[in-house]
Amino acid sequence: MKSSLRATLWVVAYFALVFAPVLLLFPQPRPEGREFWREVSVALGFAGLSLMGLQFVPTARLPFLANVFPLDTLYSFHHRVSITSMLLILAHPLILFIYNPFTLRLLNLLDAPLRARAGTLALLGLIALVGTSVWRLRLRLSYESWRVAHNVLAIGIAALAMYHILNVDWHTSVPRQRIFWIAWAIIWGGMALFIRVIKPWMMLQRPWRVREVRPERGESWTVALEPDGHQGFRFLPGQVAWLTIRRSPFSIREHPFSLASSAMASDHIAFTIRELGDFTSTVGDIKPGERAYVDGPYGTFDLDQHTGPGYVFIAGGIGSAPIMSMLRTMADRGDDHAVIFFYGNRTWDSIIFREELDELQGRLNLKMVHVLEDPPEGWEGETGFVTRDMLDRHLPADRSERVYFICGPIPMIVSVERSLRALGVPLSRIFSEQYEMA
Amino acid sequence: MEDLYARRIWQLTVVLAVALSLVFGFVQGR
Repeated sequence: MKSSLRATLWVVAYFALVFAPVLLLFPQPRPEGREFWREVSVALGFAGLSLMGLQFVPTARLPFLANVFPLDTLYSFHHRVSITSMLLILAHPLILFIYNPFTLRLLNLLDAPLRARAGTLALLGLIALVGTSVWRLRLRLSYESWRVAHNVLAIGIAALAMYHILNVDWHTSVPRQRIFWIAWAIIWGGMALFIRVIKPWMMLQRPWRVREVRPERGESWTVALEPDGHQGFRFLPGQVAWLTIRRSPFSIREHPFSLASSAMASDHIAFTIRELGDFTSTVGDIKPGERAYVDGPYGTFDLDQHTGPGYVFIAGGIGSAPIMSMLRTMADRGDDHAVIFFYGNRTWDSIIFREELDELQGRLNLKMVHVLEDPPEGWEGETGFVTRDMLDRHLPADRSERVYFICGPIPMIVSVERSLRALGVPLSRIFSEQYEMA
Repeated sequence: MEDLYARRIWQLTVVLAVALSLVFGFVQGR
């Protein structure tokens, strides 16, 4: 099936699932009608909860979903929709309190009925879940402890919310509504079970061994892994995998990184990781021979699904990792398509893969455009950031035919996409991936 | 490009959630 058709079907399924509980309210045999605002608040709560529960799906890393939509888009959608679900759910009690201030007594966690206490706790948990995600850095939560809390909170909130709506037992007293919610909750639980128990167990059966850890320019490290007792996996150049080192795959300590090695190398894979804090700053301590677990490959940011008569790569700093995978793969395949690589870095010395890129220019039809924020004295190349004028200077006449891959921080992606559009490049030829996605 | 579609889907989600809830309020409420 064509990937655009699969994507459309998934979007239709998304809307059907999110709004099923609200739509089911219409034709079902209704309990006695209540006040307008009370019914509006219930419908908002239903839509919000259904939307919240749906968040278990994109984050379960289901291969058939993660390989239809770009991984960073799935996660940015997850972020945006989670905040929306919190607001919809929050509107449910707020409308009740405004319409009938007497219901404020339901907030009393000591005296209120259990179903109300469950609802209050679920809402507080949801606010904590969204708050710790949006302000994780400001709260100085490490990525690892945030992920553990995120998982525990998500499951706890879902359980409390289900207890709340099934025990309020008004609209959910109608069998079809009740059956829908129970089935939907079983799917949420199934997703949590898959990502936290089944998938780690599968990873445990397919361990990897660290073959090499080598320092790179720009405070980065390349970690090469080889499969330990199995065949490894094939990936498409540019894809992502989740890496766990020195921990059990059950420990919720995995990190997503782009595969940087050639997709043609079947005996090993490699990640290049920049020291940015938390786990990434300990990569240099990893020793050859250590055990690792890899979950992947994922994502649609890859060369093989988006072929064209020529390519333009635009990356900032460690955003070059998936681009290196593409270039190394092209070199191994003897691919002579024309490539221009705009590569932004702070200084000349911090250019990761600098020497290898020099060498690749001799093997590939590759033109490098280094862009330095802080150039050395006498530098005659490009400086600052990748701008529209800069792109215009270097892009060839067939610019609108080429396929563009952009990887870097969000402001860079937004700015470059805007410039490319202004230069007449169709949106359908531009693919991007953000650094920070999960 | 995909992010643009994702944003549209999100916007439609918000609009539908509010609109359907209000319609249900009119149909069911008194």
